[in-house]
Amino acid sequence: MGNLSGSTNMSNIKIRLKRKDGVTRIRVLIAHPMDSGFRKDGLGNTIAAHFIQEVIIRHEGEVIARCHLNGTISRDPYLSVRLKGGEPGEKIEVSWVDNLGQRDSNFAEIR
Amino acid sequence: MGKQPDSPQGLRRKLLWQGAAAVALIALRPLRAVAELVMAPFQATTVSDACTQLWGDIKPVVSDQIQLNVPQFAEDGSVVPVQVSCTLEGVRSIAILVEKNPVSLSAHFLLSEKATPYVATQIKLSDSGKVTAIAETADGLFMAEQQVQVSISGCG
Repeated sequence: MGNLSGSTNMSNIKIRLKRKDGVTRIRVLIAHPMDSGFRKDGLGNTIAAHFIQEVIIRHEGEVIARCHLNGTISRDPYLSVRLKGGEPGEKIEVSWVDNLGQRDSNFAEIR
Repeated sequence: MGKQPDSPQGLRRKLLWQGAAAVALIALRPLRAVAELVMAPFQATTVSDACTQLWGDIKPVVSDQIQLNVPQFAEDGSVVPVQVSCTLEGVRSIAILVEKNPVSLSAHFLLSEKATPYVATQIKLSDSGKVTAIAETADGLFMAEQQVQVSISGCG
């Protein structure tokens, strides 16, 4: 896939990186219900809020973007930001924490 | 436990509990403060309230230096792609706000100097209405808006 690179392990965070015109395009897909707390189930009971509150994207340990989210972001959230520069072999790290305190992180190498 | 403060076990237990309580207090306090600070803008139910929570009295001005890419017609309100890019210099943050959702602020991206002024995500829209993108720079707030027609509600 040419200069397309990404994470390979089984984390629920998928990271896709693509270098183009001096910029590294970072695309992140996270498996998460993102329940807003406003929806009801078939019996009319409110489905409890369960959503990612913060996603931090780092390049070689330095923060590129801090994304503050709530339950109005679609299920299995997709996020994309762009890094100035970025060289092959350098690491892009993504970590998230949700409103219940659950967290996960993953990384990918720029190719 | 409290009746025998002089027995070695009682004293040890008491100290242990006090120690645990102190550690819990120290560990939890700053975390809670940060969480409240971050969460407050996300409770706002109008776009202008959310802006005030984020930036105080500074009012955003409409600018063609910020491009908001969102479909005019969204068949499924639960997955609406949003893309924001700017030709502005020194963008510190980009916020995405929705007029008709139960809470107005959908996402706030704090960008470092390493990031280009670009963000993309997918949001839920509970009803037809305006989607607003606001970019924050040292010179103020810049805004772009787009009306979106929603066929099936994304229920906030």
